[in-house]
Amino acid sequence: MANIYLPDIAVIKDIIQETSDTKTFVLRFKNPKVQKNFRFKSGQFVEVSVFGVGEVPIGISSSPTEKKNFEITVRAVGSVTNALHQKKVGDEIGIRGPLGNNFPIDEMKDKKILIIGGGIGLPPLRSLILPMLEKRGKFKKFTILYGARTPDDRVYKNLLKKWNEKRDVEFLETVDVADNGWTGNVGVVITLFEKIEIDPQDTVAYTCGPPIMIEFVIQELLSIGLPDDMIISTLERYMKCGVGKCGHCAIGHKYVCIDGPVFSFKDIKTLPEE
Amino acid sequence: MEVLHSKIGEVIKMDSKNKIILGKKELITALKNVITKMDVVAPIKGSEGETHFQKIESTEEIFWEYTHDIYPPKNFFLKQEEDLFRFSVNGKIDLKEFPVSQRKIVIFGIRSCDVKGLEYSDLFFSNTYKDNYYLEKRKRSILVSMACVKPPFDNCFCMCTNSGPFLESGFDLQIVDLGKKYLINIGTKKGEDFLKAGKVKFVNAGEKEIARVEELKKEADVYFETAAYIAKAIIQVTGDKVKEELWEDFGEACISCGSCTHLCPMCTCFDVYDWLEDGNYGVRTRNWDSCHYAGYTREASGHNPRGQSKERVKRRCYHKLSYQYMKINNNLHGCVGCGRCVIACPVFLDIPTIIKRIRREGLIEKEIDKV
Ligand SMILES: Cc1cc2nc3c(=O)[nH]c(=O)nc-3n(C[C@H](O)[C@H](O)[C@H](O)COP(=O)(O)OP(=O)(O)OC[C@H]3O[C@@H](n4cnc5c(N)ncnc54)[C@H](O)[C@@H]3O)c2cc1C
Ligand code: SF4
Ligand code: SF4
Ligand code: FES
Repeated sequence: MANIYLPDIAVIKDIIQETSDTKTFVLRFKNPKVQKNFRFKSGQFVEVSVFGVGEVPIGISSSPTEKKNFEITVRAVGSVTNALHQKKVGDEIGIRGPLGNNFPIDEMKDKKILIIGGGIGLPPLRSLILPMLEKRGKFKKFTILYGARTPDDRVYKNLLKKWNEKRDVEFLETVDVADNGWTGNVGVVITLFEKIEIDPQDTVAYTCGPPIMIEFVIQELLSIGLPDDMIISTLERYMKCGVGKCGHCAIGHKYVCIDGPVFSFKDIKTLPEE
Repeated sequence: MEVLHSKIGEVIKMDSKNKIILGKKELITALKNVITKMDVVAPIKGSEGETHFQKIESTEEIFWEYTHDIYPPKNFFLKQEEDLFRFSVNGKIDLKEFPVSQRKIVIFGIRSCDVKGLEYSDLFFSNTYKDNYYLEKRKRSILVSMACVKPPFDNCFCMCTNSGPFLESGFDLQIVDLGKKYLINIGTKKGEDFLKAGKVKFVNAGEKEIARVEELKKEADVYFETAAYIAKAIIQVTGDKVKEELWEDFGEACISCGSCTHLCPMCTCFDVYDWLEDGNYGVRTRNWDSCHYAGYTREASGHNPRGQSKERVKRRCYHKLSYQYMKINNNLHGCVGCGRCVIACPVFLDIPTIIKRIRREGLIEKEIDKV
């Protein structure tokens, strides 16, 4: 019987310092066969092991169309994430996955796309945005909103610049607290809503970020008139196993690790508030 | 149900051909023969006269007047603490799985409720991802259950939860004590394996003996507590129709000790952690966890969706008493009425009490007319 708890070994190929506390790790499985069979979809996550410290769920942040390597972007907040930040290029870590469900993409062809990310919520959305932009023609208007705490807390600074320059992408960002060099928007991410036009009849919105941000974003989208099933969000829950067994991530009879982490607001509404 | 057990052990259709009669001495002879080939877990008597299920070396150790073990048999399959694999920490990482035993495990005398508890866990551990550690041990286990002619505990309420005192399925062999001899239901091929290894002669049950079992079932009805009204509680919990005040009351009472969940045969939550043997090697281990612990859902950011005790009590009740969980688990109840939480909980927040209080005090005013 296959061991669902046994990770595969991946080698760190590159490390990109995104912010003072966030790094992107470029990874490749040590066994080429495993790398070849590693097919994931936008929004899925992996369980990352730093052996001797523990295992944590992290969203895959690279595009599913990129086959040679895959990437995760991690903020150092606790024991495992800090230990991961100590790792260097060439070091080995454990990976189990891909796990969880994914963002719907093909179902949303010919829709206007609105993507709202907050802080460390952008990495999983990056795995959605990148393949969508590869097929830009399949969608109508494409809007990305991003909010971070401070200018330094913005991840993927080069990519943000590119999105900003793209003429077929409407990109707006904001920070909660500005510094001297910042000339852009200041305020929480929903303050960006008044600067754009949203067509509630024809738009699908994807969001990922801290729970409090998600709550406000969903409220805002509902008040604009987006239907429940066109609001797609991720739910974050404390996870241990990632395979629906340890029980930690359960909400009602749903397990965020296998039934999620992506849910439409229509699904979220049916989750019992235990 | 058949679908599931074909995974764990091939099911045999229940009919009169699979009901056999075995003398009491012959059963002991069978066990003696089985012990030489398989691990046998059976009830033994503790120092206070209590029952424990333990691996035995000789049939002399068996406590035949046994009641119920306060520890559920899940411990033989989902161990309280279980090593998953070993890893090296320095240089290139090397992962090593632990060798898996091939020896069969017989759980002799397991009670009906606990058989149902395992049936529920079998479903849970084999849905979506298959939990190899649990299923591997379950596949090489043989459940020889003992039907309860009288309730072994004062707190048994399996009659309400449809999980005893006699079973129709779930066991490999079910023993019914007819006084001077046993009637045995053969439930699966694994049950036949046990009889083969036992090397004893038996005869098919006659009409009289089968009729006697039916009488015993009726007699047992009288002894068992049937007043837990689980169906009503399920309707209310599923529909979120329980007064908030009652949850608050429960939340204030609960001291979050986790005993109820640790001793529940249906609770399967675990935590996973790494520990270092020395500077070079470490082990990833899992151990029982409890949704009643405050830290169970606390995220690194400090955000805790079930930070309050009442939310955690609600969580446990939802697992035990919601129709949603029944639906995904072959209509099995999330509680098998074993009564362990009645003994375990220091503040009387056991499931039968919760069921009664939900029925009596839990209704939201405006819902009273509807239910
Ligand atoms: C589906 C999913 C995707 C995620 N994607 C990312 C991402 O792309 N980038 C990123 O930086 N972070 C992400 N997180 C959050 C990340 O998992 C936590 O920050 C991380 O688990 C903290 O672990 P720690 O050991 O550093 O902290 P500690 O506080 O020391 O945590 C101890 C243990 O608690 C658990 N835990 C604590 N907080 C969380 C949490 N928020 N979610 C799940 N388990 C937790 C973990 O099992 C961890 O091993 C994601 C979480 C989920 C559920
Ligand atoms: S909830 Fe209580 S009575 Fe029901 S199965 Fe669990 S321990 Fe037994
Ligand atoms: S045994 Fe009782 S006090 Fe302890 S966690 Fe369970 S309900 Fe709470
Ligand atoms: S993380 Fe273990 S059940 Fe979801």
